[in-house]
Amino acid sequence: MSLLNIQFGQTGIHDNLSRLTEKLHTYGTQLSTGKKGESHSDYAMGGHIIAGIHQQNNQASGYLNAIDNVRPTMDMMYNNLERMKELSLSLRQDTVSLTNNPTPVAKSALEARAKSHLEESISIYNSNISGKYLFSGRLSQQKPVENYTHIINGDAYGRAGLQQIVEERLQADLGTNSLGRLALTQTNSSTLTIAKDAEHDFGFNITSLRLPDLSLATISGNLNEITLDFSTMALSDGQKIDLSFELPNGETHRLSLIAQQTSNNEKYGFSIGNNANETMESFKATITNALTEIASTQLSAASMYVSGQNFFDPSRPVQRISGNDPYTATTFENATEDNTVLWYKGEIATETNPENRRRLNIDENYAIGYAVSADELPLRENIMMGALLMVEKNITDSSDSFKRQVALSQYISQNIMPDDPNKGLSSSLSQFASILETTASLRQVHSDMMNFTEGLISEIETADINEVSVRILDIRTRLEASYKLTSILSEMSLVNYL
Amino acid sequence: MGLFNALGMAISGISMSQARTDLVARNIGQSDVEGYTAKTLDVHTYSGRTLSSGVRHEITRHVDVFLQQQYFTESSVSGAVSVKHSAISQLNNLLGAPGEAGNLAELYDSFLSDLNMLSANPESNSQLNSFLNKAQSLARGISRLGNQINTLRVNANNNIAHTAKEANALMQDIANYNKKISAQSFHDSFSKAELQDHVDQKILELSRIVNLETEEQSDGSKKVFLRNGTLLAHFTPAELSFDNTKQIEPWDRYSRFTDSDIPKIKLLYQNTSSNVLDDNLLTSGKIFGHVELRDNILVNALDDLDRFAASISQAVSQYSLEGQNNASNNGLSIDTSSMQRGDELILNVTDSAGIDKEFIFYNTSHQELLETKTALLGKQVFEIDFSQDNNTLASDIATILGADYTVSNDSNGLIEISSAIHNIKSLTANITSLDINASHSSIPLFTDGSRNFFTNSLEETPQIHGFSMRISLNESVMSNPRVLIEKSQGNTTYIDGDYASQMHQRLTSHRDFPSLPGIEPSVNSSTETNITNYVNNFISHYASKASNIDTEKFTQDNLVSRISDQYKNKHSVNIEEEMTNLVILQNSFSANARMVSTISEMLDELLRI
Repeated sequence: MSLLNIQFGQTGIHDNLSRLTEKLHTYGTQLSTGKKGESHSDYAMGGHIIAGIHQQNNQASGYLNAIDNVRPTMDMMYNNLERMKELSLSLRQDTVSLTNNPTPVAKSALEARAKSHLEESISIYNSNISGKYLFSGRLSQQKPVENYTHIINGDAYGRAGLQQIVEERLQADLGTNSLGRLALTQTNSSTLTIAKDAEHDFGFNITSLRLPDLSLATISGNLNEITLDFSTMALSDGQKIDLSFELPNGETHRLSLIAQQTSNNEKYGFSIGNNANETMESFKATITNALTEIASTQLSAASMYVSGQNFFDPSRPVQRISGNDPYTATTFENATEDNTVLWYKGEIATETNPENRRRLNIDENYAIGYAVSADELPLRENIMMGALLMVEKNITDSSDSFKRQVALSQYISQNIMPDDPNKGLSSSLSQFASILETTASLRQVHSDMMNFTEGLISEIETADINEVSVRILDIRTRLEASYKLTSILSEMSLVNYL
Repeated sequence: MGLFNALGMAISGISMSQARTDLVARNIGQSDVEGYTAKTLDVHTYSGRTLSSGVRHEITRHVDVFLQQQYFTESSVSGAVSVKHSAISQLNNLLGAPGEAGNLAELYDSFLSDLNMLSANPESNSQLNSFLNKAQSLARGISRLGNQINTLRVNANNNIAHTAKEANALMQDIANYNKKISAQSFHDSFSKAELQDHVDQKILELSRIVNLETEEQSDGSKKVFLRNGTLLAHFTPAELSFDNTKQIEPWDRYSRFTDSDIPKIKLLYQNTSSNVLDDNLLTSGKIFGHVELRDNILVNALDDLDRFAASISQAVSQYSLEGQNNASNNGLSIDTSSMQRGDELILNVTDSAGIDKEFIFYNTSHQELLETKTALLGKQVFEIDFSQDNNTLASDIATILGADYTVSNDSNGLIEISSAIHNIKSLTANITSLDINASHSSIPLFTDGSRNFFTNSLEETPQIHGFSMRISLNESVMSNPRVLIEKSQGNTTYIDGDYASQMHQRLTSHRDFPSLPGIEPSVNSSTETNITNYVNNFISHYASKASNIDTEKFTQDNLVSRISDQYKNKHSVNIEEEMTNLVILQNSFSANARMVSTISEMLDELLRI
């Protein structure tokens, strides 16, 4: 370029100076902010990539915060359920011990265990974090479970507790004569009629009677009446009369009464008399004893168990016995809030998937349900077992309470903590563990994503101070050179030399 | 040659030197005047019998016409680019920096994050308040940006009027100068050349406003016209007329085919009027830049932002109602009574040939039973009025679907669609909930302005236009925020994060968008993406645009600068050259003076003889 051109091309020099000054400003800003750009357009593709990375970072951070917010609650719930499992296993162990070896020592050990089981279960179900109850579903401000005394004994307002509910039902199931609401009536010298003492759903419910000739007796009428005419029976030694009846919890109990030519101490044996009347009398005495015994054990245990299930199921009203005399009662009536303690005050789990009452999105396409409430079947049955044992202990009647306790313990040992991992508390625990594992795994994914994106953001956005400083120095040198050149050019005019 | 002849020649030389000195003085004196072109002196020798021999001079102005036209053309492009650069840079600044707390993506991410936290922690009042604050910030952030974009658009519209006035003044000046150039008989050629400089300077200024071409006439005047030959100025100026008194609204769109809400730009020349936009006469220049901003760039930006606002509002407030099976005829029945204007009823069928089809019935009072557009292959969209009584509604749907289908108003007040020929797969109504206490997770969290609900209605003007400017947090939710976390079942009210969780899921799941920002919506396709991705695309698209226009401006400025340098190098005053001329002139003058002096002495000698 000739000298003349440079002089007349001052606009170009001016543009270059402006551009250099602008760059100096840019690098100066980078130095002060530590970032390469002040807007999205300062980054490649309009900041599409860096904005996307920020969005990934925000998303991961959002899910991570949500998980971290909920995780303590979930951990505490899981630990509490684990403790419930331990308690239940101990209770099962003690019920098995009593069933296998019904000694007073085993009895008192079980009673002590039942008390601590119940107390600790209530405490666990009422656990909370900062006033947020863990086992009351979505009514998390509501303490879910009543206290021990109210559950067992009722409250000061006259509301009945489990003790009263169980005892009333037991009385209704046993009846006045403790024969499980059955009445044995001798209609003539050789005929005995067995029937319910009235129309009701209490006590034994006869389902069949097989005669020695293997024929089935006719069950007739609303009282399930069966008539045994011993004059028509040709009984021989060892022949059986099999009676099947249903217990209040739906189980079927079978009773075999054995005809004996001579007494050979069969438990439920009856004598073949010289005539039909003698045989009938012996049969009547034997069946009376048998029914009395079964009523005070299996029937009582079943009655208590079904009472417990009913009392601890908050999804339907507690069934109370109608009338003033439970022994002769024939109907149920729904309990009211005024006459019966409600053991559970949280949200009632009626949904198919009650865990979904508390949902949390832990990833873009993944949500977990982590609600557990004390009224869910596995949890409420565990608390029920301890409560029933405590109630049983307090029942004062003339029956053989030791045998009844053993019978109840059998029910409990069979139902508490079933070995099948897909049932009961084990199932709840394994489901919860799976949720925790998924949550932990996704937390790790989000955490890794956050670290990764933060690294990328830093790499893309952070201005290297050394590099920027070098660039500033470079621009400064070029600016100085440009100023110098401009200055020299402005002096290099013929005007100055003429 | 005699002494007198020599004396005449010397005097002629002195005269020419004086003229040249005058020219140099003028050139130097006006060297810094913008548009001044260096003049030269053309010298012609002549010879006569006696004193008439000597040199004659004439001032001339040499202009490279091709370079000048290139200068005008690139200035015009530069004018458009600089206008767009200014507005888009402002838009880019409004979008903030990546990760900056107030930018749109960050506002949306924070809103989402807090919503999920609310679902995890519905019992926490502080979490509820925090979420409401984030929702408020998001609504305000969108609204602020929408209003700023609209302000830029309104400014662009006003600038068209201002720039048109500038152009009118320049065209008037050009015409005035042209008249003087043509009409006057100049006592010297310098004045004419100076007037031509003025004309060129005004044309250069005009070229930044509109793209133009020029043609110099034999009398030295210049015709300025648009590319189709429409005159802008010669002896009479044209006039650009644009009425910007009407406030431009977000739903106002320019249309070259119909009477649009935005007045047209008219060019009046004598008695002829033409629409410069309709006839595609403008391709560059500031006015074109402003028009591009008003009718294309900023209106698209606002549309894109409106879609973002609409998608958020609909994601939180809309729910899907599925048709119920009718076992007797394999049909589906649905309750359409809650459908709002803008809500859709979607029927999915597999026809007898095994081809999947989707019929979309859009709720509007502008009922047209003909297909309005094809959103995607296999999808057909119809406008229908769902506020009619069910019998009429069923009859209208039947008209659309044809004889293969049976549509009826069933005994429960539901619309039932069945077919003996085709397999009806699903019947879904997407309904906007207007009730904050409706006991489901679809809550109208945002409103259109302080009172109206956003339902994507098409009544009067499409509701989506400018929705981003009006989006607000629903005041009813603000005053009763517990509707977000309370769920009633029977007589019991639960604290439940489920609504928040479901809202979060809808906000993060994929939705149908007409297109991603920056891509012209097509009648044949739509884009399925999530809102987060959409807003990210929105920001980066306009940031990219800013970056591109930055580069374009830099390149264009460089180009214009180079042409300008070239033009100035060729036409401006070169001081060095003038100073050199001055030295030569000085010598020439001295020589001629010496000649006169010598001839005078010689004549004296002769007279003394």
